[in-house]
Amino acid sequence: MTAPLLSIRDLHLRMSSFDGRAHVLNGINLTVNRREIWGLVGESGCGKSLTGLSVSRLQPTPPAHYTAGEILLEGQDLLKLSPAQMQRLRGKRIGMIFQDPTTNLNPAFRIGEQLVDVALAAAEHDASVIGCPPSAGRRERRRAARKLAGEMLAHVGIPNALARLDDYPHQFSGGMRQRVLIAMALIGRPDLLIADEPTTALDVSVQAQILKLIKSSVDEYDMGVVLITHNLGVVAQTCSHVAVMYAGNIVESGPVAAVIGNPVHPYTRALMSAIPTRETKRGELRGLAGSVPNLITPPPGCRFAPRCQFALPACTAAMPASVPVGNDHSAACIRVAEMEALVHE
Amino acid sequence: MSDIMLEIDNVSKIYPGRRGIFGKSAEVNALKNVSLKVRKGESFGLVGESGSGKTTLTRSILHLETPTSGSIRVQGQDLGKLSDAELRRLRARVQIVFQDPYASLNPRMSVYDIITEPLVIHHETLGLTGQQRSDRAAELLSLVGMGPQHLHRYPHEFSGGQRQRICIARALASGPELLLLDEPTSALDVSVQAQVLNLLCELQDRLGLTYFFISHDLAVVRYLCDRVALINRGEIVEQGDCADIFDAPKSEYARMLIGAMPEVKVPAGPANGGIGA
Repeated sequence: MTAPLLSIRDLHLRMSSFDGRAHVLNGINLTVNRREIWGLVGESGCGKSLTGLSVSRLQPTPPAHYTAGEILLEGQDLLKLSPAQMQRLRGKRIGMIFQDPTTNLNPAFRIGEQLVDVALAAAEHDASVIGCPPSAGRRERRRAARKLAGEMLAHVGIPNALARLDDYPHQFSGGMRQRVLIAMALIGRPDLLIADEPTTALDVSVQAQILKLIKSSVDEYDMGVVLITHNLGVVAQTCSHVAVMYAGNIVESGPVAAVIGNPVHPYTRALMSAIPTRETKRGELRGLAGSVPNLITPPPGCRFAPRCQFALPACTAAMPASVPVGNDHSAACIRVAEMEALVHE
Repeated sequence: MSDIMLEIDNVSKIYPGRRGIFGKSAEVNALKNVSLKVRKGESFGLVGESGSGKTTLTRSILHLETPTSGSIRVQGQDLGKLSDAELRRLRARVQIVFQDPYASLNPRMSVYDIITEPLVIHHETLGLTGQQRSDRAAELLSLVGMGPQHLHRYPHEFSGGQRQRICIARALASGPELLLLDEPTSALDVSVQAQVLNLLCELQDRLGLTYFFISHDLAVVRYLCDRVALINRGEIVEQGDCADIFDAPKSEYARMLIGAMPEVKVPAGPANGGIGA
């Protein structure tokens, strides 16, 4: 069997700050195959963005410090690569989309030029991206890259794409800019796409279009996606798998239908009951008491224990291991087996 | 006296085009003949996408923006016809909570100063002595689920949810009847959002407040509001009872918006693995 596209194994990340060292990723395990869309959900500060930034190695070290673990992209450990080797992977093998489309494009360059730059960089790794041989002249390669840029813009649904290559970022609306960024992420035909809250800054109607676009690109480009979001609704609509994070740990993961249809970790349950749905009656929304723990001095054992309604003394003894509860579905809680009975009490 | 708290009658707002070095920009028709009524004690939701005119309408209700035509009446008083002194007195009764709790608290003021500031500004209307103000500040903090030990701290010491509670306490300080809530939970995490929404429900039941709730999150509006208006490009597209609009939207725009709403529904897929399966 071939190696999975992305395999994060027991990743530990510490961050130095003035107040001390925070243990921000505490043994992350995640495997993403091609054609899977993994949703990474959790509240602010749970480490979901750091996981994404670790995969693309965009987290500066220091202050970050990887104390253990590996990030394998088809068997190759990204943590062992030199900055130059890593730079060659970005844009070509790993594409990224960030949250804020207004700040991620250079306002001083036409978007066509920005797309062409990415395409040419990717072509150095794999000349087939722009469909012209490496021996071709500079001018010819640029022309091919520009043609590709136009095609990509049209592909992500920007009307009149060829003419708009010569526009500047400020001439696009937020949703259109996010499409440009998606085109930029896809132009090198990446194997892995990391989308960090790609729709948080957008209106719901635009959000729906962007998510549809990401979803349809997965099969077309045969890629794997890590979609970082705080919105479980987005996950339910878009993803095939989901990993729920809390304070630097993945507490529950598995296929979306299993995790959302049958959440077993108390945190996942709490998160879901905090979202108002059609059936929620006024005043009956269940918030989660307390707040996210301080990661410099995290609570002992299970980090969710202090806020958990089902916590036992044993919960604070040791970090619970992830146990399988079904097909690919696992949760890190010592009371997983009793959960169904507990909930009905 | 009628039971209408807020009446917006045929309000339009046109921002004139500006003449700059690149020529004249076109004028913007931010609100087009907007009419709506908010009854006393209800929660009225205003939903729209960015650029739809939500903020212009909110600013007009506070009279921070003067409508080009039409009138806005709060408890029968026409804002456009009030003198400055009358307007100041009215503002004690209409308060607002802003979207971003990180930006709407002055970092150099203590919580005590923040909460008592409206009491000082509306001294003329409220007439509280210094001691009464201190008592009121402590009372307001406990009302929003915080304690007197927080009074002499500064905003940076609080989490987003707590800051939003401070903003709510400040808005309640002058004893308003109408509270404008401009996306009060969109900067917060879901678990904290749930706490703040529950607090808002509780405060309304306890104090008989009227809410004018602005949001782009339909799920939150459905949860909190009795009636809702959808606004698109400065025009009210549809308004009515929350249940009617969410269950049977009439306009194309409402259908589109409700259809685009990401809901946590179990997607169709392989059978769910049961516990211990």
